[in-house]
Amino acid sequence: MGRFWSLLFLLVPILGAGLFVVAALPNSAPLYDHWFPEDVSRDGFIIDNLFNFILYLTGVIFIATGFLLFWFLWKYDAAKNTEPVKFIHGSHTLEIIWSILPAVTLLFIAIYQMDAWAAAKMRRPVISAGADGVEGTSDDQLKPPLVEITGRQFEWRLRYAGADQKIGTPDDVHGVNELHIPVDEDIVVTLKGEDVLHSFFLPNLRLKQDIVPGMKQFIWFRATRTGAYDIVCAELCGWGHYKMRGRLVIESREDFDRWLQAERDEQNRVQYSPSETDE
Amino acid sequence: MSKMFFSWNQRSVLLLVALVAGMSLGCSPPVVEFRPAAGYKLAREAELEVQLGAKQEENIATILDSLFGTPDKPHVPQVAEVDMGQLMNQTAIEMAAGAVAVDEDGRPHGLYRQHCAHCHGITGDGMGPTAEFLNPYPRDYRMGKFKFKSTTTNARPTDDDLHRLLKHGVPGTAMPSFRVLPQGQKDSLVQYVIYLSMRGELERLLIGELLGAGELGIEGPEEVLLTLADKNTAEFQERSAWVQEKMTSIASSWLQAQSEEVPPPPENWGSAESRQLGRDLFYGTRGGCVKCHGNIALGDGDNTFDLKTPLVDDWTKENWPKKLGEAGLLEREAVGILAERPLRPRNLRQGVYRGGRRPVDIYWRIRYGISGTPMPAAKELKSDEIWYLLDYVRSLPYESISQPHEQLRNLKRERL
Amino acid sequence: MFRGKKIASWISLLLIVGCLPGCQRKVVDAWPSNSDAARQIRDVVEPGEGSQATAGLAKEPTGFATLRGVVQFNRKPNVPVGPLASGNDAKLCSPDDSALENTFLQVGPNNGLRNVAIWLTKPRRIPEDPKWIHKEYQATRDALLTGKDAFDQKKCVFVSPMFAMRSTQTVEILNSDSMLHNTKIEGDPSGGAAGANSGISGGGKVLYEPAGYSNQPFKVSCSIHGWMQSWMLVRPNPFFAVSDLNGGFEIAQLPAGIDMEFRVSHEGKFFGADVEATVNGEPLTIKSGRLKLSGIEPNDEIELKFVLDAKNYE
Repeated sequence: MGRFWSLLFLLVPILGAGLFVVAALPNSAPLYDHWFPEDVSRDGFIIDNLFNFILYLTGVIFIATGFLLFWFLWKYDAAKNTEPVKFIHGSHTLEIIWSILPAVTLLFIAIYQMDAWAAAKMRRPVISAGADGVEGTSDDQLKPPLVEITGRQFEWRLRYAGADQKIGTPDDVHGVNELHIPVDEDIVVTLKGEDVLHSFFLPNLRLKQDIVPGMKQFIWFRATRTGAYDIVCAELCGWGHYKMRGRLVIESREDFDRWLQAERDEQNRVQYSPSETDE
Repeated sequence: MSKMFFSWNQRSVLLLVALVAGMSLGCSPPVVEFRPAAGYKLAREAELEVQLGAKQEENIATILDSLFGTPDKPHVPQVAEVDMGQLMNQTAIEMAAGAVAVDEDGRPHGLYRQHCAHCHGITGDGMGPTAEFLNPYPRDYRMGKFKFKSTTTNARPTDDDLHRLLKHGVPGTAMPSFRVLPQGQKDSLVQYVIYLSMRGELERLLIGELLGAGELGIEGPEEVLLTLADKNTAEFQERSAWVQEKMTSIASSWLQAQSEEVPPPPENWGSAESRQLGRDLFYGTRGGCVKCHGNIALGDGDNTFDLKTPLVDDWTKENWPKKLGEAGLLEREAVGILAERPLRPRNLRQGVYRGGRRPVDIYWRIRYGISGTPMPAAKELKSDEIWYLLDYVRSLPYESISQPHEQLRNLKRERL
Repeated sequence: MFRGKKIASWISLLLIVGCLPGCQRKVVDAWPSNSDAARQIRDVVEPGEGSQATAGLAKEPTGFATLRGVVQFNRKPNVPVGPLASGNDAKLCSPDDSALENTFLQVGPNNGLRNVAIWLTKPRRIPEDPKWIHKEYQATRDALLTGKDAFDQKKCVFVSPMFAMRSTQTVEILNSDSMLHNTKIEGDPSGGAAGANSGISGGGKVLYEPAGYSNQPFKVSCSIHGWMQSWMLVRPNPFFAVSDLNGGFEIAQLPAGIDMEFRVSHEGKFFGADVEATVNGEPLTIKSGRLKLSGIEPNDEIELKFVLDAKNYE
C-alpha cells in the first residue's frame, strides 16, 4: 500500500493519546475540562481509581500496539521488500508469553475490583452487629431504608419512611423527582420499577443500579458534601428517557429533617382558606 | 494503482449532481401552525346538520390570528373591562412560545415546545405526537375544563392549581413533575396554558356562532363573521362588540377563579370511628360512591360494564358522539382525533391520587366533583360527612385486601 | 463486471431525483388565515369601541301582545318504546321490568307534540324596562323555582324533558326517587349558562343558578343511569315557552310593535323547512328553526301553528 498509508495508521495512537493530553490541559477546546463530574461521596474515589487504572493500562497497550502496527507496516512494505518471504513454524515462546501476560492482567483487574463490588453490593450498612459482634452475619440489624424510589415512565417516585421507619405505611411522605438526603450518613435506598427497565444513576456519587420491575433492590452510599446534583436515568426506557431527570439535594441533618417535616405537614394539610396563597 | 477509481461517464455525473443538489436543497423545517378544532366542528356539524364553509373557516382563523397571534408570534389579547395583565404578560408568553432557543440575554424561548408540545400539542389540544401512546390522554385545554383544581365544579383553575400540577405532575399518568424547572419558566408555562385555553374557548364559540347555533343569526356557510369591507356598518360594530363580549366573559371566568375554602375536619377525624362513618357513607345512599367505584372500591362499579351508555369523559363524548357511522369514524381519524376510550372510575385501593394526595385535595375532589368527568359534586353532604368519607377513602390502600403481595410474603426469604 | 451495476445506478438516480421535491412536511391541516386582515381586525376589535349590543332596538314597543301556538303531527306517529333500566338500580327503577317512560317523543291525544321549545332570539338584548318586560315578569325575575316548577326526576326519568327558565332565576333540582342520582348539567359557554354536576340522594335537592344564558337547549343527564336525558333552556328574558302534551304553548305580554325573531327546537333539533308553519293562517318560513314576526299591534293575539310530518319522526 505504500509507506504513506502506514503513516495514517501512526496517526491513530498519536491522535488518540493526544486527545487525552488535550483533555487534561485546563480550559482547552473542545473538551473544556469536561471530565468526571464532581465526586461528593465517600467511596466514589474507588470507582474513579478503577476507571483510571483501566484507562492507563489499556492506554499503554493501545499506544504500544498502535506503534507496533505502524512499525510492521513501515518495515515490511511490499514496495521496499524485494526478498522472498520466509516461512516459520511459529514461536512457542511468544505464544506462551502473550497468553499468560494478558491472563494475569485480567486476573489482576478482577481481583483488584472485588472489594469495591463487595462494598457496593454486599456490605449493607448495619445499625448493630448483632449478638456475635461481627458484621456481615445473619443476626445483624440492618439499617432500614430511608426512601423507596420507584422508577416509572418518566419520573422518579419517592416514598420516605415516616416515624415508624417502615415504608408502605400511611405516614410515609411521598414525593417526585427531588431526592433529599442528609450528608455524612450511611443512606440505604430501596429501588423498584413500575413498568419497564430503568437505571437509577447518581453521577456525583458514582452510583448506578439498573431497575428491574418486580425486583426490589437496595443501594447504599454516603455523601460527604452538601449541594444540589443530578439524578439521571441510564437505561433507555422510552420516548421520555431523556426527560427522566431529577434533583439530588444533599443537606445537613437538621435541614433534611426540617424539609421532611415541611413536606409531611403539607401532605397532611387539612385546611384551606381563600385568603392564603399556596406554594 | 495508476487507474482512476471511476470513469466520468454520464450516469455517474448525473448521480453526483443529483446527490449534491438534493443535499443542498435540504429539508425545510415544517411550518408551525395552530391546528383547528376539527373535532368540535365535526361534532356540532353532525348535531346541527349544517356544514362550515371554507370562507367561514378562514374567517375564524383570521379572527383568532388577530386576537392571539401565531405559535411563533403570540399576542396577548386586549380585552374590554378586564386587566389581562393579571392573567398573562407578553414577555412570559414570548418565553413560552416560538421555537426552542436561547436569546442573547440568556433567556430561554420555546419552553412550551420544549416541555409540553409533544404531548399537549402546539394548539394545546392534547393531540401531540406522543399523545396516542398515553393512557390517559393528555389534557385538551381548549374546552377550558381542567380536572384537578380547587375551584367549584365548572369554574376555571387558579394559577396556584396549575402551578401545583406542574410542581407535582399528575401521579399515575404520564404528566411529569417540573419541580426542578426554575419558577420563572414555570410561570411562563402556566400563562401560556391559560393563553391556549382562552384561544381554544374563543375558537369553539366562533365555530358555534358561524354554524348558526349562536345569537348573531348567521345564516348559511357563505356568511362570515367579520369582513373588513363592511367595517363601518352597524352589523360589523355589533359583531365586533360580540367578539369583545365573549373575550370578556372568557377572561373574567379565568380571573374570577378562586380556590374554595376547606373547613377544618371534625374532632374525631382520623379515628376508627370516623372511618366507620365514612364507610357507611361510601356504601350508603347519601354518598353512593359504590355505584361507580364498585362494591369494593376497585373502580368496577355497576355502570362501568354498561356498553350502551359507557362512562366517558367530556372530551371523548364530544369527539365520539353516539351512532357514528364508518364515514364519521374515518373523518375523525383523518383529522387526528385520538381513539375512543371509556373512562374508568378510580381504583381507590391503589393509593394513587392524580389530583394530589393531601386531605384538602381529596376534599376538593369530593366536594366539587371532577370537571369534565361523570364524578359529581357532593353538594348535599355536610363538610363533616365529607371528612369522614375522605378518611375512609384514604385508609383503603392500607387495608389488607389492598396489598395482596404483603399477605403472600415468605418471611424467610424476605429482603428487608 | 456484473450487469446489475448499470441498473442499480439508474434506480438510485431515480430515487434521488424523486426525493428532491420531498421533504417539505405539512404538519397540520390548518385553516388559512389572512394575516393582513388579522392585523386590521385587531385594530378594530381590541379597543372595544363597538357599539353595545343594543343594536336592533331601533323600534320601541308600543304595548303588549300574546303569542299562542300549537305543534301537531299530521297523523299519529309511531311512538318508540322508552328505554330499559339496567344496572343495580334496575329493579328500583322498574319493579316489573317494563320499559321506562319515553321522554324523547311525547305525543298527546290530539297528536300534539310535547317538549317543543320556542324562544325569542332577536332583539338580542332586551332592556330591563317596564316597556319591554311587563311587571308580571318583573315579579318572577329572581324567583326560586320550587315545588311543581322545580326540575325533578322520578322513576329514573326526568320529569321535564324540556325545562326552560330565566337566567336570573334559581331552580331546585329534586330527586323524587329513593336511589341516588347525579344531575349533570352541560351549560352553554356561548351564553354563559354554567355547567354543574351534583350528586343528589333519594329525596334530596340541590340548587342550580345559571349565572348566564343559553342560545339553545343543552343536555342534562345522569351519569349513574345512562339512559336518563333531558334538555334545559336558560334565557335572559321571559319570552320563551315549552309546549304541553296538547302541543300548546303561550307567551304572554310579548312587546308589540317591534321586529322579532324566534327559534323553535325539539330534542335538540331545530325545526326545518319540512315543518309547515302558519301565523294567523298565513304561511311562515322557517329556516334552521328561525321564524320572523313583525307588524304586531298591542293586544294582538298571534296564533302560530306548526304541522309536523310524522314520517320524519319515526
